[in-house]
Amino acid sequence: MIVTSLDTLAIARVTARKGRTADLTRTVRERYGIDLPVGPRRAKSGNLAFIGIGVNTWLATSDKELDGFAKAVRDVVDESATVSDQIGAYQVWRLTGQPVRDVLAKLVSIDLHPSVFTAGCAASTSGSHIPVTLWCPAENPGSIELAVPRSYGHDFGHLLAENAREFGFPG
Amino acid sequence: MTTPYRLDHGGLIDRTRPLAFQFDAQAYTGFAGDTLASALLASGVRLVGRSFKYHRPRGLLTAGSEEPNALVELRTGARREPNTKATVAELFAGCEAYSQNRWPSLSFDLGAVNSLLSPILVAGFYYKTFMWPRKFWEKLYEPAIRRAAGLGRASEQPDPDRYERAHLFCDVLVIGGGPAGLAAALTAARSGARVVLCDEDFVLGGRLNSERYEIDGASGSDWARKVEAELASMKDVRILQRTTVFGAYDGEYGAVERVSDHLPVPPAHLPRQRVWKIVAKRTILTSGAVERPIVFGGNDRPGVMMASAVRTYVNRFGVAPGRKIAIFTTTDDGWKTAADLTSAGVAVEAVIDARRDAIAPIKINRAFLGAQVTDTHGSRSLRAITVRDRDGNTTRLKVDTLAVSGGWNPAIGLTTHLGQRPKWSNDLAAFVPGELPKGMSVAGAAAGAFSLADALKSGSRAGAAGDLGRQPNGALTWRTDDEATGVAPLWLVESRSKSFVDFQNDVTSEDVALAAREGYRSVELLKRYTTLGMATDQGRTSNVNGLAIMAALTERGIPEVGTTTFRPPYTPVAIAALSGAHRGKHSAPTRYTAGHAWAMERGASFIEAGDWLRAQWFATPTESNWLETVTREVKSVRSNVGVCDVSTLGKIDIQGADAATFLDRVYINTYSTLPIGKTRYGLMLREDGFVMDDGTTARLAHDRYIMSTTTVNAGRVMQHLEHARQILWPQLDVQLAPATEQWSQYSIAGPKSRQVLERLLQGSLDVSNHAFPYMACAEFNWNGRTARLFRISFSGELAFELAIPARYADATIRAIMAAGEPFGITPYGLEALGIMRLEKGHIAGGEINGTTTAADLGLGRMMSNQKDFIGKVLSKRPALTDTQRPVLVGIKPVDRWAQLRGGSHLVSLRTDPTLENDQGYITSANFSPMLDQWIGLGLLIRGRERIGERVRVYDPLRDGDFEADIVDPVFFDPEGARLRA
Repeated sequence: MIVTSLDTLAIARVTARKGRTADLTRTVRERYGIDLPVGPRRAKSGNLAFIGIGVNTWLATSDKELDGFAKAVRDVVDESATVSDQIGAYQVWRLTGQPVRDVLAKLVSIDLHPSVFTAGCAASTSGSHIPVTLWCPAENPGSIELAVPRSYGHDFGHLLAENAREFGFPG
Repeated sequence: MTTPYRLDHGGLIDRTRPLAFQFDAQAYTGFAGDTLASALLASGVRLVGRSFKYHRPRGLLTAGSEEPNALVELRTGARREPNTKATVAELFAGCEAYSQNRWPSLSFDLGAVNSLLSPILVAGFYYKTFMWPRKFWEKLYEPAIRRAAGLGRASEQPDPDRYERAHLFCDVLVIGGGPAGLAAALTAARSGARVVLCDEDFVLGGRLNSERYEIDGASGSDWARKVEAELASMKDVRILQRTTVFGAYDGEYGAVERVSDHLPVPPAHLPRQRVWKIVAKRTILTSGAVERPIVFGGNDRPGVMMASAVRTYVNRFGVAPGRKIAIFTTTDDGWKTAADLTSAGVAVEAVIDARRDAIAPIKINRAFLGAQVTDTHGSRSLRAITVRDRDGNTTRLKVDTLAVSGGWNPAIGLTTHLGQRPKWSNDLAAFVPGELPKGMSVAGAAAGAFSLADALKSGSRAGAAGDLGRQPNGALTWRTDDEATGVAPLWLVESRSKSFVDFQNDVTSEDVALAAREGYRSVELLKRYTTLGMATDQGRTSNVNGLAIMAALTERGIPEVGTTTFRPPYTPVAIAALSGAHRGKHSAPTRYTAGHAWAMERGASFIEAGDWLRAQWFATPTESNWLETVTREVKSVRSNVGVCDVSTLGKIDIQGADAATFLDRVYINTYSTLPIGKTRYGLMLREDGFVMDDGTTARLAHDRYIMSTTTVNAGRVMQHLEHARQILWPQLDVQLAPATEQWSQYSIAGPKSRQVLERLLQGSLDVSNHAFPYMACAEFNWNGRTARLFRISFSGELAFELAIPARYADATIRAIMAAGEPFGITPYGLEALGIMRLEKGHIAGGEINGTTTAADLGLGRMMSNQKDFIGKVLSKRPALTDTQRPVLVGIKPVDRWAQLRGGSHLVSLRTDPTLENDQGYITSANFSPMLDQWIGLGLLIRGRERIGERVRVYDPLRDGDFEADIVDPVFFDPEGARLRA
């Protein structure tokens, strides 16, 4: 199992203003070419992705820009949504390798079977008392990416390593 | 090290792999594939324990997890575990086991004196004894009972092993890997379903490994291997062996996998045990059935064993339980034991069949039909039995083993875990599943299908049910022989000797009769009065017999006496397995600020604040105690400048057209009037009118605020706000986002803080007093990054809080220290911060303790009269506006070195320190470097009117008793001149 830290991923939290979800959806499609996902799913185009994490709430991520990302999204969505910068808020990892889903099954209580948690699926859940958002990236369906609030990163990393020992991961 | 009872051939053991082990410090040998029980039996060990109450010698009764007698202590040292059933303990090389509940030894146990006291030690004796004289209770009776109580000893050392927790999802969960379970799993798996098969044994097959069955021409155990191989080859099938499904819960099942219990030492990469939480669309319970003993005189003597267990020892383990064996049966099944023994070359002395109309299916030396065994003989081992024939004549037979078959009880425990009740079947003389938990079906012997043919058929049918899998096929079929499964129950044999119903708790038929006589006639009362069924076997070999005897005594049918239900866990589960990785330091996750590494470099000592670690102080090598360190820190900040990590305080983004309205409803004071670029201190109440939390909220734009909360209440406040947003006022256009993690925040405080900040920011923001007055806030660009500055102060000094995205925290704190170096900047921690806020009379967690109102804390005037807010109505209740309520004051001991402690009580000088005279208590206390003495905040009845009064501080727990003056809570810089510099 390989764990890669995605240090340069920008994240911003986007919440539709009351009654403006349709406007937001249209804006995101027109400006980013992305169909805003309904429910716990992730949609990506180019460097930009939107992950559904709650009712009318998404995490917008960018592989490209960092510090100006939230402002750029705010400029685009304008009056249809509020944006909260989250570039400091998460530790994000990409996990690849055969045992990844079995290792994660020891932490999170959702069904990660490849036929159920397919490319594009996402979930906001918790694992061992730590909030975690995870998704199966369509551009890389053999992996799982997950975001954990920064302050929990140290302990979550320890938990990942412990639970991967069964599969030969160096503890 | 001889094994006189090991048969020359046969069994599923591996005779090429002998294993040396010890029992009660004696050396023995077994084979791979043995259990501790089968290896002991092979060596001729018949005595394995002493019973709980009477300390009667006991031997193996069964070969499975229903075993009530052979409870041993396994392993030594930190891994020592009590009450392990020898019948399920997989033998491993070097295994050390000890018998329990005996002293000084198993063969000579002084505890047997209890047997002499048996007329006194009947059921319920403890309700009628140890009452007089009363004064003997504390000194004599209770200590004696404590010493005698309990079974087994815990190791009392830290557990050296790891435990895991995992989740599993499937279409079908099959519980039990015997013939019905294998048939169900195979049928479901072949249709494409995701299948999980759990079996508690270390070899799949259940009874197939213990009987001489044939399926499609192959032996039963070979058929099991073949099915197992096919299942193992399918990618969506998971076989969990050594795994007990211990409970049916709401929407899921709990199971414990004994990953390494069978290894001398668990390998480093594996846990000792793993708890699985299994969510299944459907469950098929194929847990088999438990053979029922017969209640007759002396039925607990070592050598009396279940008939099916005898077959297990012979067929699976290649062990003859004895040399001269008799069989006492009321079933057709019991005769199979005679056939198997004969086939293995072991002498069968007699078969005693209680049924008058029984037909002997095989030729036997002596067959007694319509007869009963009424007594057994032998001191620590069976030597003879007394048989009473149909005409009432008695015969004594010399035997060393008696195999008993009283019928079969379907193992339906899991069907009752969620409150469902089983139903009684007169035909089967057993309880069968009644109502079932949602999604569960039962097949095989667990459903009362006692023959192999019926078990295979019902299992496959359950596995073929239409809503499973992708391509549903029909049920599978196999060829197997017919079997007779007749039973005529015999609940109690008239006998003059003790006849045991519950072996583990030593409950006899006389105890059941006593319960009936004393009026405890329902099954719930019978159970609790006699303790029948309350041991670790949950009455699996005793419940039905007890019920039946009570029914006969009270002339009722068994269902009228009541039904037995079970609770999880089905078999005992180690608490370590349930806690998994959450032990010690890892019971809860620890949260670290982004500046933690830097703080460690600086030698910070840390303290827990909620889940967080916060720097408490930064000691230097020359300082000898914490007070010295924090005194230095406080003095440095108040005369110079210091920096403190305040990142852990909760931060919440509040945005939207109605954000201002939302805040007005949540806080007691007004936020819609807050100008952009300003911060305001706020207090919020619970719905019941008490203070919930405080913080500062800043307005960054017309529809954008950032709220701060206390560290420990961050999560609670977020829930509170979300509840308000989603449930109370869904019509408001407001959006919330957690921001605690996003921003690292440092407080730069002290008279020179502005100079440090100017040097740090290099003109990115004008922080002069004119441009950035007290309570100002701004979001600005600093070196290409967005940063925020708030001029707020908990310490009471000129102070600024700088917020930057947490990923830049490390670089930022280093930059702050570099910018502050010419000014002698000092890092300070939570303790120094706590002292400074105390000197300024600022409230914190000690004052916001859930029992105080805004008025109590001197903040009553903050409550707006112009608007409604959460808690407003209930805050006006008479008890919350009572003028006699304790209110916030400052306390200064008269003796400056008298140590004030939080929790000390306050009483008037003229009165005795009693509860009736209690006037209040200290909420926070610490040593003030600025006043050079101990100070504190507290709550005192009518405190504000009593400033200047002297009171008594009373702290009996910590030997505190001294006088103190009531003062204004602001001890230092009451005008606040430093703040506004």
